[in-house]
Amino acid sequence: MLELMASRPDQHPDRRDWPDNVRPLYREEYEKLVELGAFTDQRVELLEGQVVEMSPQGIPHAVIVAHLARRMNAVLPKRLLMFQHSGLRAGERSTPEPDISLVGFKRGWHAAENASLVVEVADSSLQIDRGTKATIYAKAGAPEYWIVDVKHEQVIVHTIPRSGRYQNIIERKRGQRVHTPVLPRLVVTVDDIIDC
Amino acid sequence: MHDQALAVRSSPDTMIPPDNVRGLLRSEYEKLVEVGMFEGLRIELLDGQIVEKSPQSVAHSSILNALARPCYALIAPDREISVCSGFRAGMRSMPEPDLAIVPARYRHPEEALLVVEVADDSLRNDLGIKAAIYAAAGVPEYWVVDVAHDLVIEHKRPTVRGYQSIESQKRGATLRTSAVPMLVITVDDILDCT
Repeated sequence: MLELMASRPDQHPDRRDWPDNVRPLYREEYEKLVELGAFTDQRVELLEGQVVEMSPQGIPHAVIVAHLARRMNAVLPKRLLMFQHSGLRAGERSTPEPDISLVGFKRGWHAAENASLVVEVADSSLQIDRGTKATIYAKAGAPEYWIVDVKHEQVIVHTIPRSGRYQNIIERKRGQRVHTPVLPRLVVTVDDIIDC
Repeated sequence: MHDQALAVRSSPDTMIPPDNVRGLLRSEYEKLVEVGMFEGLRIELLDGQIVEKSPQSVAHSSILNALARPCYALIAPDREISVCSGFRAGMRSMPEPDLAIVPARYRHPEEALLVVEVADDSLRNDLGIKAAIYAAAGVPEYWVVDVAHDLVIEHKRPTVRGYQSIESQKRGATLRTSAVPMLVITVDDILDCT
């Protein structure tokens, strides 16, 4: 964040001064700003009351998202819609924009609790995807959350959200299949996802 | 004491790495104020973060009055006294100083000649992030009334990296400011009014 603090030479790069009594930006306020066009052409999302910059999407990231989306779309049940990089309402303080979300058809904003599956493709965003976002999706009750961890060549499947965290986290490695009850006809391996 | 007030803290309540936090821009904050989203809230924008201000105590208001009263009598006609109103400081901040002497203009102040904050429970913010913001905005003089320690902390010589001169004035000391050259007020005048 801090333009002021960043210029301080004695500042450790990953520790910053935060003021006392920080108040979150609420989703309602964030949505008002979106409506007023404040974030046009900006890649931001609201996570736990903070406006967070999404890391620039590299070509491998975009390609992985596009290929996985095509495979999923091919076997998508009629009751679900697939969204890419669309805001998902999650609690009072978050509107994350997952790379892929499968949501039951509904007008207006989509809510994480109605998302059958959420997918994030992580390159530089792994820390946020494993930490803050896993908590956000679990708290919102999204039943299944995948992280395509490009760096470690694995897909991390999170299920059973309870008490603000996923009770079941499985790392699928190369050579293994990734499956989900949401898309019973999806046949895909970690290699298919990463090597596309 | 001041070093402690500036101790580095990590992100509150979230696990978001600070480098990814963008915060709010002042323009966005002002939009939300304009459409009434923050109505009734005591908040300010400090370097992209919305910060809650605690309700003003009786002591706090008395100190403000003790300071403002002589200022009203002595201020030059081309200047005005702004009490608890927003101050546009850079792209990422809109603090609401307890008291500011600003050039007389009918719009949001963007420059101030003197800013005063009365710190009861807000000392860490007042000496830390707010000093950084006011210094970067080029406010030439910044006073923090430190109620708990019976001090007025004078900040002078602003640079983008903070104030170069910071002096604690104890009881018995006299304060002067070029924002209101006629004003002569003691630390005791300010602290004893409560």
